[in-house]
Amino acid sequence: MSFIEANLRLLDGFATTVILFFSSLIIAIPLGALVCRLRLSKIKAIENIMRFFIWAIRGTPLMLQIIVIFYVPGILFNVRIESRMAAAIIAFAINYAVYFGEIYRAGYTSVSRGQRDAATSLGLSGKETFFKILLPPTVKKIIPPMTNETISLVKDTALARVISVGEIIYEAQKIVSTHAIIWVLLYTGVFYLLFNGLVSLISGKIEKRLSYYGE
Amino acid sequence: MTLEIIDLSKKFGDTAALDGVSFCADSGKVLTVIGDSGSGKSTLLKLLDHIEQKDSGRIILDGKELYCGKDAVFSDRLNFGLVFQNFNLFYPYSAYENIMIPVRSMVKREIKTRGVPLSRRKKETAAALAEREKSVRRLIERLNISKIKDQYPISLSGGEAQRVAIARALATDPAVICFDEPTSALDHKLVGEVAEIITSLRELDKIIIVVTHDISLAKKISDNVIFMKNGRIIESGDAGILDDPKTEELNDFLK
Repeated sequence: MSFIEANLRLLDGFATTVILFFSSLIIAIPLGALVCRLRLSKIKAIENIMRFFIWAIRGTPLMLQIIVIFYVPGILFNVRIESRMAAAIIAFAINYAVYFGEIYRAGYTSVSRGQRDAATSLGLSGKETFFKILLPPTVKKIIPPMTNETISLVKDTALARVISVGEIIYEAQKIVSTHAIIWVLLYTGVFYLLFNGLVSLISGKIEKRLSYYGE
Repeated sequence: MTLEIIDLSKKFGDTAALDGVSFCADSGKVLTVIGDSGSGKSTLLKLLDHIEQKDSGRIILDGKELYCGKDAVFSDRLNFGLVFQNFNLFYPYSAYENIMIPVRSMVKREIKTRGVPLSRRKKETAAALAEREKSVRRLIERLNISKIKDQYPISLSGGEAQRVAIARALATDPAVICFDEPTSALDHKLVGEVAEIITSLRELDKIIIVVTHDISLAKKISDNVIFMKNGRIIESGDAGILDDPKTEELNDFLK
């Protein structure tokens, strides 16, 4: 296998990893808000259902969840998810939405009661209180844990190989095992380092932008 | 203007935080509510501002009963400006923005309530805001916060943060201004300054209610005094009761 051929294969894997990552992230961020909202529901039944759901998703391996989402709907309901990529994205999005939701919840509930009381006292509506007063400090508080989770997501995309989605490690391993070329592993490692470097850089910039105020 | 409180009660679980409290407060005068922690002073302020809901009793301002019905809460609440113990300034906003946020919210609601058609809403809101901004500027001058108005709460000293909190509470022009333990988060040296600010508000013809356990402050500012214990008013009267208490409980508290 030529150097160029190997590079093209890795590039394919790289593209798949990037698509997996961004699609999962874009779905998981708002879905996490829904998880958080339902978990904070004043209706006990909804709160308990969410507790169970969070326990189930956090307590089982992501790899198992990918397998379940790809195979189980077809076996049980005859609704096959044709695209392996889509199945992987759904699994990542649900799994990460649960983690994100818990991070949002921790951030939101840690904004001091006094901020809420002041907004209420000053006659702000519920919508104004949430968007103007509670959301900005929540966002500030959740940036560091969200960065950690996002970095984990970058690395977890490698689990998509369990249903044969050709992400970068999948492609690299195929090259190593069939052509005994080792440098592709180094190449793969560097890719993850650069990608996560970029995630840290962006999060650092956001943190810096929000550092003008403190609690 | 008179604020009349009749038989106000509030329980948290089995504990009566406020138990049949009644009193009157007049505009242009400072009413000080004194008592130990847990006597129900702060709960009283929260009920006035409807941050907590009363179990029973009536709150009457200038002959009109407040908080009758859900729709009345937002407008009735604006009759009260509350200066919190820890000021509770909004962290992400400058001092000026802290003062303007409630003003903008109020103007927006007023325009909406008046039923101004959407096409004219933006223009009318801008005009009403410009008008309000003038009085906010006067307030900023009055409370001597012009120099710090662009600073964020984190960089303000305790005294400065309190002046901003007072300006914010007054920005919507409430009839009643309430202070919750105004000296507890401040250096003791600032007590005189706080007393001066509070008494200067008499000129604005507001009803001023100050909740405190700081007797030296109470002596400096009070026109009338209420002494509370276990959610009940034990003794009330003019500032003279601070020097000449009639009940043993107040006598013990003042020692």
